[in-house]
Amino acid sequence: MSVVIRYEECSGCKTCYDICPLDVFEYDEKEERVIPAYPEDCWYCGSCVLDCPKSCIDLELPLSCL
Amino acid sequence: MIVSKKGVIRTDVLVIGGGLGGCIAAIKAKEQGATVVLMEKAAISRSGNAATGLHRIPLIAPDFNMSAEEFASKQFDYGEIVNEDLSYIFAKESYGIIKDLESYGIRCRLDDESFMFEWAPDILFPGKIVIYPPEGQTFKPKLAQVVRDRGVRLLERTMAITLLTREGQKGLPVIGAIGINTRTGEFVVVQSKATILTTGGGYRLYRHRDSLYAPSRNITAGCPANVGEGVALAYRAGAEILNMELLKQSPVWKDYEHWGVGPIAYRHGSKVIDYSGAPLYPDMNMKTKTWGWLYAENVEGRGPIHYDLTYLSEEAIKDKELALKMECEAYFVYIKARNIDLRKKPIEFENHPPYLHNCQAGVSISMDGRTTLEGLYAAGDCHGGGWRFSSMGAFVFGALSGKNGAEVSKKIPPPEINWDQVRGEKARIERYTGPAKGIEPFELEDKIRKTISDYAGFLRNEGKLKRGLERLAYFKETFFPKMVARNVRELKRAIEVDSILLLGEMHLRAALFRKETRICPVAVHYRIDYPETDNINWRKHTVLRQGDDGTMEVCSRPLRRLKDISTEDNR
Repeated sequence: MSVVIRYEECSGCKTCYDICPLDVFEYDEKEERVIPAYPEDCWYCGSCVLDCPKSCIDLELPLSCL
Repeated sequence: MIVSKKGVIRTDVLVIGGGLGGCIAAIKAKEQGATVVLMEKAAISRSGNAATGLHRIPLIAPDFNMSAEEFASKQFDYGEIVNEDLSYIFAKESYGIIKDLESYGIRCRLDDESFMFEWAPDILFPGKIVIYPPEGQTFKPKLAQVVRDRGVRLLERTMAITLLTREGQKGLPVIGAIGINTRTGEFVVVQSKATILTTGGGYRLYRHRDSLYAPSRNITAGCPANVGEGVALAYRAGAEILNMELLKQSPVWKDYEHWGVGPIAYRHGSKVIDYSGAPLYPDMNMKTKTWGWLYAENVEGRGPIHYDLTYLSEEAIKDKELALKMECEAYFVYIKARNIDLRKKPIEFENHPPYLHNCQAGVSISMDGRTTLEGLYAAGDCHGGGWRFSSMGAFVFGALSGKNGAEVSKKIPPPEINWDQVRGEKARIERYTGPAKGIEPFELEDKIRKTISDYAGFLRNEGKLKRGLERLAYFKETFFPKMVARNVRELKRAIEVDSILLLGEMHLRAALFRKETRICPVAVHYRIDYPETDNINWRKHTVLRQGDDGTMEVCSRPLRRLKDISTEDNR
């Protein structure tokens, strides 16, 4: 777990996919939505959370940080 | 993966890396009327160490603290491995940079035009003040927008794999670079008259966490996209590299290794206390003079160690929270998840594993940002010979590189690409791709980083360093050729692993060369077999460069003093 998108609020703008410094997201053409496909590369910087225009992304820290 | 001569992008200035230094380099080059291409591995609005914020910027100016000469001499007298002229220019240009940023619409002051500032801890920034930009969170996106507005051509999601040189020969002028798109795998060839490296420090040289759980493997102080590839690119092209043995140490919040201690520890002060609540140092800044102070406290039975803010006023705590928010808002996720209350309970912290940072280790540059190779400049965390220049260093040397690179580019004709070099490099990268069988790039990265952690680290001796070098040489010969990238994403990592392996060799070789111990407030080289600091023989740079036969050569060089600089050739 790294980032969680609340899809019911997501507009599909792809901002998170465009800006992620570690390229954690992929765009699923079929489903027409962004998926956090590579949580193992997440830096937990929260850029996606900051820039999401719908504020529908949450950062979930792994247990090792808690 | 096709490269055609028609597809070559021609530009006056190429900037590689779009962090703070790269963005300002591109803006400054553009202001000189040059055409500019910026190549960035991620996307410039949120990339590099300041991706999510910037809570403070160092500033030196006679109106605020001291003259540039005074600062340079004070910093030199601290005993670090630093070129005095770089400190001088850093200080001299710093206030102008603030004014430049403000002219771009990036706020650095409060509404009443005053700076929100404080004196930096003496030990970390002698005489510097740090200013707190009131909109740190949006600093990077705003700077990125200026880059776009100025008409800089952006190549995002593109990582540089090679610097092109005249006739394809190392040591000859740099004339561009080859990049690869990290999502499509397409190659791009850029021909440039001046090339500026601003790729950041090296945060993936050591193992960062012991966690077996993959989603926490990338949590590190600086941006983990920064593997130090600028240093690798410059070295391979024939440039000289400085002081690769010097490591950075930082305290970080327990189990969450972003740079969050700064905002908490320094602004309005803090107390460091042991497990029982007893204060350890009346003056925290005195104690950090000693390497491994945090380690020592644990060994001597006083751990875990905490920062205590509970005695501070509500106003002070709020200021700290604001600084933290301006640095990285994700800290509040950590604070909430871990039930931390800054007002009521001390916060535990730990040592971050070693990394290359702070402009000590990296590409050798002169006062105007030139490297030892014609046509190549470097700025920010990927240059060496400086000290703790931080964000302001990225701005100052980025701006100088951009301006000087653009000026020089006006005087020279377009260079000619050697297509044998392009084909050779393309083939080198394509060899990483292949059938599914083979060593995964991450598996090899893990092995290399474990080896560096085991045989170098903060405690070194000749035997361990030699063994580390033997192991890395073995990996290079045996494992590296078997590394296979099964997709573009893995290819990006494979190219990074190539840089990490080279930087690892540089790091160990330089550490083996420096036969002394040098414990500076922020940079560390601890040789157990040479425990004394030897200013007579070793207060000088360690220089690495590629020999004619391709082997790594090491030598030393005196530190540059301001009084000796003739400005002409000061590299």
